Amino acid sequence: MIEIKQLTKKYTDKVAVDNLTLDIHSGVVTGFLGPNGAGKSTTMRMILGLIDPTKGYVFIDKKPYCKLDNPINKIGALIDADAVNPRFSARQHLTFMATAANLSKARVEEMIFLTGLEKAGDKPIKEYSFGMRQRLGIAGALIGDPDTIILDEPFNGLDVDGIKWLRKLTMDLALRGKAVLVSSHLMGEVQEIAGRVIVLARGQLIADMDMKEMNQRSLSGYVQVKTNRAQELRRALESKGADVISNGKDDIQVRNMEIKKIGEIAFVNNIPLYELSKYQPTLEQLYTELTKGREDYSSNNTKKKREEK
Amino acid sequence: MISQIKAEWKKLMFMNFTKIYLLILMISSLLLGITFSLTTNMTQGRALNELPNIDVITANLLGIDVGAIMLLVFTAIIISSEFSTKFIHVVLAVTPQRGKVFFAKLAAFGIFSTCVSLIITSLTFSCGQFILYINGRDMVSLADGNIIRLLAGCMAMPIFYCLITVCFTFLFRNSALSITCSLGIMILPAFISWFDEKIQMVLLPLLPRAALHSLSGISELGTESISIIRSTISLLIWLSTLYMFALWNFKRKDII
Repeated sequence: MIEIKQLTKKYTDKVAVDNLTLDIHSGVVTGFLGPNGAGKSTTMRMILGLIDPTKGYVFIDKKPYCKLDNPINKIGALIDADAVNPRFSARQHLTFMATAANLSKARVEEMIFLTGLEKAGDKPIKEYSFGMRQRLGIAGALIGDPDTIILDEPFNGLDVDGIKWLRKLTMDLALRGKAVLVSSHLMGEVQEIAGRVIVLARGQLIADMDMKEMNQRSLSGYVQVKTNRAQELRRALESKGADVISNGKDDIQVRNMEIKKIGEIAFVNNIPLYELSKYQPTLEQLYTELTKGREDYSSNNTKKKREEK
Repeated sequence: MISQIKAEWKKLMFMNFTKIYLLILMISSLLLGITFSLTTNMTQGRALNELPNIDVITANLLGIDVGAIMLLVFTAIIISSEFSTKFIHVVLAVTPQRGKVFFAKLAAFGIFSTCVSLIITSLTFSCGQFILYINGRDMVSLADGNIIRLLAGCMAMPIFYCLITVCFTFLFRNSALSITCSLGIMILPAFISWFDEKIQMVLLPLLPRAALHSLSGISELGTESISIIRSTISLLIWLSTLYMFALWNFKRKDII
């Protein structure tokens, strides 16, 4: 398990990660979300010891990464698919990793097969597409059969088959009891695979909860109700603490109340219902809701700055 | 540690660039050695047949200087590219102990430069012997202690400059700066020789060139001549000082 406590990274001009405390659990895919400059990559690099925290720590099985006996068996990471020697082939890249980590050569071939790089295994990496580099990065992350897998934007550059393959792979890894941390801007992909979501904005932890809890807490989620006595039902629901918005003569949107309870209140008040349906927000809507106004880099900000000038 | 050194060695040997560059390095050393020995009437004011046998060999061995320069350029390019391509992320993900990574790199380049140095020393020496032979002169004997000392000293030079370049590249993470510093140390004695003899007497013996020339037995008497023990200690001090600075910097700075 990865334990992150009060992790902070300050640079002269900004705080990249601010007092971050969280655990990364086994057996679940955790989506790691946040706008550009939120501190996701900095956090991932601090987990791997590439960046020293200004304050706080990251422990993997109660030790910092650099103190682990066989680190590649604990954490496998894809931080940057371009972090390769372009003159090497995929087989050479993985052989280097296997040699340094004392792994068998057979493991190299297994990873090449797993990531579908058999045909390109001996070509120089400089001839690879970005998607192929992503596959190689994933092969490198998995070569030590680690307990925790960290993937930074792994869906970037993958084709439809690649996305399906990675989706299945991450879910299989979680089913095998491994902790999988996936950062991505493709909310749809994270929604498909993640059981838990961590959201960062401006270096701070905005949300750390499972998907079910996140859906419930969201303002974007509501229950759509259709009745010919909308005003009467509205009063009844509001008296029980629900937030209700009229959406036309016979339609209302209800927030902060379970669908079952709405049905019961309507029943008790003898109000006929023609529609009672739960509207689930997409992860993208939830993400937008949570990070609104906390982006470091957005097209609006740029526009505003231009206007200020 | 052995597995890290093995991995670093494999990394060097994987690349076609290494093989091509090595071939060019060897040919250049050999050709420039021949050029130096055939142009002594211009460089030393004496024709080849007026020179003692040992000087003919020494002129050929100057080709090793070219090999040393090419080797340090190669070292800086290869190591700095790990930082510029971010391949160092992969290296540190597998071996997060930065001291281990640095030492493995130093060991791999130490072995590599020893092999290269042995080859170019053998080539340039053999070429010198061949020139003596075709001019109908006696070849020098390897049983002669002075010749062995000369060859050993010449062989030490590419190894030393390669190792300090490893340190400079870890210190600066930049090939241009590392090459400049290594070359700077190599040619510093030429600048110092512009100064007064008193200053030369103080500074020249402290520089690696004095140690390397003294090891080879070709040092200029008075200004740079030091004993073999002092020479060895001087080279070790240079190397260990740079090693410590580079290690401190490599451990201290973030890898972004």
